[in-house]
Amino acid sequence: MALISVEEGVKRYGATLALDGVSISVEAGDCLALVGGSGSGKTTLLRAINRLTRLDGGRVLVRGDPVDRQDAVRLRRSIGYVQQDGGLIPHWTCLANASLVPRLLGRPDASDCGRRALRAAGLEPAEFGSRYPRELSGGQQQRVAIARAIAAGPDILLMDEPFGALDAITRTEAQDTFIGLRESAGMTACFVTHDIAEALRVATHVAVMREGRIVLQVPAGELVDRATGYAAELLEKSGVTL
Amino acid sequence: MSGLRAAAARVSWALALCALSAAVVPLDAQDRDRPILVASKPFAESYLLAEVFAQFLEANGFVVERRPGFGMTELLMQAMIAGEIDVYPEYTGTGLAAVLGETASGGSAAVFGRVSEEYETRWGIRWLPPLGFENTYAIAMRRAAADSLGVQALSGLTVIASDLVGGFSPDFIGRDDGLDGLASAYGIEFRETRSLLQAVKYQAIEDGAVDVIDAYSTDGAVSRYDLTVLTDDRGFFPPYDAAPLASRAFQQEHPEAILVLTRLGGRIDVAAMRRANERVEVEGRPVAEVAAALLAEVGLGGGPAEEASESSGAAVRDAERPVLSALPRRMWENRGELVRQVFRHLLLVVASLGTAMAVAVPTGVVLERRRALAGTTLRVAGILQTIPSIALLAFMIPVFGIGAVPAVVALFLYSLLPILRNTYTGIIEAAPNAAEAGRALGMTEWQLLARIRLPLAAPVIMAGIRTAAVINVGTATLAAFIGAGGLGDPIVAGLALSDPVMILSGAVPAAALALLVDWGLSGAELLVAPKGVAEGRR
Repeated sequence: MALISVEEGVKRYGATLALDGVSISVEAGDCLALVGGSGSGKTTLLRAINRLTRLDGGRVLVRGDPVDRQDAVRLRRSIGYVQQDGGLIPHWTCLANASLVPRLLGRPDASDCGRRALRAAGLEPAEFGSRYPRELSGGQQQRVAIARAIAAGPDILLMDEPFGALDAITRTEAQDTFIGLRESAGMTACFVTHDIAEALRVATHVAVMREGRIVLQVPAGELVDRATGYAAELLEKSGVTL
Repeated sequence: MSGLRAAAARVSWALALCALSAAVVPLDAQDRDRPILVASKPFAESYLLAEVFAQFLEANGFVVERRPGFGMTELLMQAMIAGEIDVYPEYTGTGLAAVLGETASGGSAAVFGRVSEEYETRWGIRWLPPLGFENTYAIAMRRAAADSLGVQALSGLTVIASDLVGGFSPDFIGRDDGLDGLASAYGIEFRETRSLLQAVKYQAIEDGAVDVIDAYSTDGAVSRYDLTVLTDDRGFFPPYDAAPLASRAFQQEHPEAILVLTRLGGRIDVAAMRRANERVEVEGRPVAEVAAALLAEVGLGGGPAEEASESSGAAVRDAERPVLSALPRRMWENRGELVRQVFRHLLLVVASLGTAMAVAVPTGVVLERRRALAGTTLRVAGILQTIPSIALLAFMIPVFGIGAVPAVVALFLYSLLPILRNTYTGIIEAAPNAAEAGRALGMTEWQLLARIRLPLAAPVIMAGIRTAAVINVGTATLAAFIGAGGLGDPIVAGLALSDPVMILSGAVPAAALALLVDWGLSGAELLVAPKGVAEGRR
């Protein structure tokens, strides 16, 4: 069953067509990478899934129900979300940040969930839990952001360029942590990246976007063989051998 | 999270406290049993006459409230027509020229008849019988200068005025029967004209900063500063007989009090008035004491006021004593009054600031959600800020009358912009990424505001409140001009009585209060700063 699907999604910003009839589908347990340059509409598409953006046309279904008929706040609490800059709440400790969603859900074991999530994201809660975000490195902050996204045990995870701001070594480590996490928890994920090599490394499926359209949507393993035109250009630029 | 909750609690506590204090602002009671409001213009003779009215009314069993130095003619007339004050001393010539805009034809009796008729018909205001002396404008020069130039009359100025600098009160410059009329009647054109308050005019002419000033014929300072009064040889100035003015409401509510004041008619001659002015202006005796002595002298007083006052040498201002050493003593002597003034001042500030916080903080929050409105709203608040404080206070009188309420409203309007602007920008700039992430993870708008945006914006909002508070403490001194009290009272009175020590006894505590408020609120800024955001702010 497709946990996430977008059907003929259309979004306009004034005269600009950000999404021009986009359809995607993510099966349970898959990880879809949305790849494309800036302005290709990939972030708009991602944000439509948890209703941060409302579409002008088409529809989005999460767990089989149109998101427009679901309560936005409840929907968002059931989906993990990581953004590029982490977006950690600066005056909360890392543990408070990580425990956010369980706390919003009113779970009495919210702090325990936060601790478990921090540990799963590779941070020892005893060492990092009481620190404030600004006391952490960029890679550590991004790990807290991932911990925060998974703390309530969501079945779906959305990420917007989650590793984009990290240096190469930190990025690889964070990617590995994420891959392990996702596979062990069996989470369905959808993430945005401009780096096709990252998409190949982390995702099970890849959708290449350009000017509000999907130009190619394939399993990651078939990308190299089936890439033509723009997708092939992207592959070439990223240095992945054809 | 507990630190964050505590910070939010502190903010909401402060807001609630201010809203509460705003709700208990005392309103000036308006009923038939209210005290008789006696006002005056801000100069010594007017103070004295108002005090004479007040004491004489009190001696006859009436309850009186004093509003000394209330304002110049225009302000007093506005307040009297609005029924905000009951009685104040006025001069017939001023009523004729400045209020009615007419020129004099005939002598004292004709002018009195004319103003009586017009005031009665237009506003129901009654001129009570003149007190018995005239206080006309007197154009004065330093005696030595007048002698060496050979000038004794105003017509003598025509030729030499182009070499002279004139220093006149703003009141005199602004009116038709003042400088403009004088200039055209005598063909006088000064090299330069300066606007000088009564309080500094005599010092200015003594120092030679100006050559010619406007004084009053009953002015005690004319003899003190060794000046020559130039005779009005073309009869330009109308008669200026002093008389009590009684408002319509006053006449209706207290006919017996009108009778009492009528008994003052013709009792004070020019010599008695000049002596009394001298005691206040030159010897620095308290107005209340001199007024009591004046009443006793004209046979209407209660008794030994003068004898008692002669011996109370401590209250006399020693003119030679340096201001700085006299100030602490004066403040100590008046400590009871000073404490009351400080509290009154703080009440004005807290009430206006609290109301402004209660309005501007939520408005700033709403503006962040409706950014299209933000530009216009901030511009309107900005325009309010540019209105000169004294003008804003004057605008309040027709709407809110006099006293604390119009002052609080004016101060409230002044406080809006800093708080509004800081709330708006503070919330916009409060970690937009964190707010975005919070929303994406399912925080409601209210949770975002209460737990992320307001706590992060709190120091910025607090800085706006601090700015508004410091502005308020300063501006509140001007509120004394519309009878709101506070530390402006001694400043206004000191300006009127040319008493620098009295001015400083209001100005120094006001400045100290401003510094204290600034210091206290900078502490509050640190207190509301959320942890983890900046170093050294934990």
